[in-house]
Amino acid sequence: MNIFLLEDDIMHQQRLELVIREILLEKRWPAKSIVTTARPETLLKKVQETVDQNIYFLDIEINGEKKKGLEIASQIRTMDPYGVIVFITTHSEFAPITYAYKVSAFDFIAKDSPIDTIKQHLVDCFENLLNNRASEKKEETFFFSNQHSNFQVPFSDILYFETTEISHKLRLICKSRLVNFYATLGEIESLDERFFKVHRSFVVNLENIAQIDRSEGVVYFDQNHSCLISRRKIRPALEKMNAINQIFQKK
Amino acid sequence: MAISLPLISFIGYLLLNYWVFVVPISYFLIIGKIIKRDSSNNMIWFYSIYSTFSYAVFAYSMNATILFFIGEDTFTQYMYLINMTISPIFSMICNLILLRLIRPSVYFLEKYKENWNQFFLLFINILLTLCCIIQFGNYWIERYLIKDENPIRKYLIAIFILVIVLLVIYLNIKTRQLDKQRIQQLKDNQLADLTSYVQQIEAMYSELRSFRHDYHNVMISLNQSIKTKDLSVIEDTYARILETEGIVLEDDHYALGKLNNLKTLPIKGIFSTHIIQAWQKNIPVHLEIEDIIQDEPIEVLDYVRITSILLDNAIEAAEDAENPFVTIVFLKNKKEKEIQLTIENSCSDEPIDIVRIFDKDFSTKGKNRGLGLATIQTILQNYTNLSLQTEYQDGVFRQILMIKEEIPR
Repeated sequence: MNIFLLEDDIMHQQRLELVIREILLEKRWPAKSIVTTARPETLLKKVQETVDQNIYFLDIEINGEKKKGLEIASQIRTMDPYGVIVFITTHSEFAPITYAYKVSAFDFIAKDSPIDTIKQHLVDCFENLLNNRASEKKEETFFFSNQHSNFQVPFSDILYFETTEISHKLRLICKSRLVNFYATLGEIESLDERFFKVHRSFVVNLENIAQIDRSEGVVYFDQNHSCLISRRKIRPALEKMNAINQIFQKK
Repeated sequence: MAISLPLISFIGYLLLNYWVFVVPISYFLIIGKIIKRDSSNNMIWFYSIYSTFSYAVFAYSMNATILFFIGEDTFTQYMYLINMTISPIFSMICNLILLRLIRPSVYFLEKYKENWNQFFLLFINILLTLCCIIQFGNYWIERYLIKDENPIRKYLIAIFILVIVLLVIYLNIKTRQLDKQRIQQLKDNQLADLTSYVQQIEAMYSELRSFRHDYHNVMISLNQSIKTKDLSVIEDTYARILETEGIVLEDDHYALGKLNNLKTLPIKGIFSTHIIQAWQKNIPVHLEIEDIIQDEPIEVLDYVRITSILLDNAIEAAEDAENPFVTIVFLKNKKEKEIQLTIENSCSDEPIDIVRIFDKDFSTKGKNRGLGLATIQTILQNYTNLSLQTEYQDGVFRQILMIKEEIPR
């Protein structure tokens, strides 16, 4: 574990480093190195040297530059996609959702909150880093991007795609979400071998099919979700499902 | 379906003779109901009656003209030929020209169907239906009542053409007027929104000013306590200052300042009004606008409608939640050339079927409330670069509107 701390206020810097060392000692977590600096360049140089279970604590406003921390974070991300990035900043700069989206920031810690709160946050951050390592297997994400729209959802969440009344407008139906976007079913089907066009207005995720009702011509995903299947597609769909299941069993 | 019309009409002609016009009208009504499920009944009625009537009138006027030139005998001889060729073609051309004239109006009426009074269309419909009955009923009267040529028949056709032309003009004027009204209303709303935003900002500013005024006094008292060199006194003063002054500056209401990054004025107004409204209902609002948001590639009026519906829904749903909150995040993804607006809110425990919430008549709030999301759906249909993602998980409902910069083609 390598710890990086970027903070231009010496007082805060010292205080944070102290708390971090305290936690490490208490929890008996070994740290290979702790880099504390007020200069972004120094930090980036050090990151280049070691990318191995890194955790970064960054201030957002550095030496009067309002968004320097975010800039540094995105540069870190190009070198270390999996490290834990935490922003330690003033309350007015809080934007956890934006930064989670942009640089997968894990947490925001308010500088001015009581020391116990800060400590608790720090412990959470470290635990996340350590647990993350243990279960490295990340959930597979489906990225969609064309000239009209882009979005991402967990692959296992995808049930089926359907056409809407408007040509080329599709709707993706997931277990707990819905995406309306612009594309064609053919385009979707070619994106993954687990996608299969079972009907002229439906492409399904074969992995999530619970049951196919032959007589009714309906594909069931769970109690609430189902779509139509044309009769001549039932057999190929079942064959494809078997093939996919075999591949996954081998894995 | 289009092929079946002549067939149905022919059968209808055999069965109903002069009342055959009922057949195409009902045919159009049924087709309209199936294809344009979203349209109002009045609109479908208008389409059906207008198509049938204007077709018939022009075809008939052509017939009358030909009759005038070639005389009755020749006409009777070639009647079927003429009825099959010249008259329909002439009628179609006339209708295409007329259609070009009324299309913008009809498009407008369809798009903003909830914004105008259905009464004026009802009036047009009744007028057209009356004309239709007179026109077709005429044959019947001639044949069975007068048993001779109706003297006013010749004038009727001229009157009907006049009616159609006047109707087109009226429709255009009326829609233009409606459009003007709508824009005026939006402008008024916008002005009201921005006014309340300015008031809020002014209140914040005067708070800040009073703080600045106190600040000097605070420094003096701190200085005094430092001079005593007694740490406990200094600590005391410091704590008191934090308590009385510090909190003010961390007040949630300063979040409104973040709207500064939102450069599209009408939208800024919409957001400020809704945020203030949420505060009045004691719903905390978390706002993140870190990037400069401007020049969104979407028509302002549509943009205003989408965002107000999303915000209204969020606030309304959060009100019922045990732990109410609304989160609004605007961000820009420079790499993907995309703007993302996320609006999330807590809601009550009832599970929501997110597939159904976009249906026209569906609402978790009972009948006649489900127009919002259906309206959004209608607006989205006009844009290829907008996608909407809807999520419901663990009591949090989230809508993500993705606005992609259109790639010029």
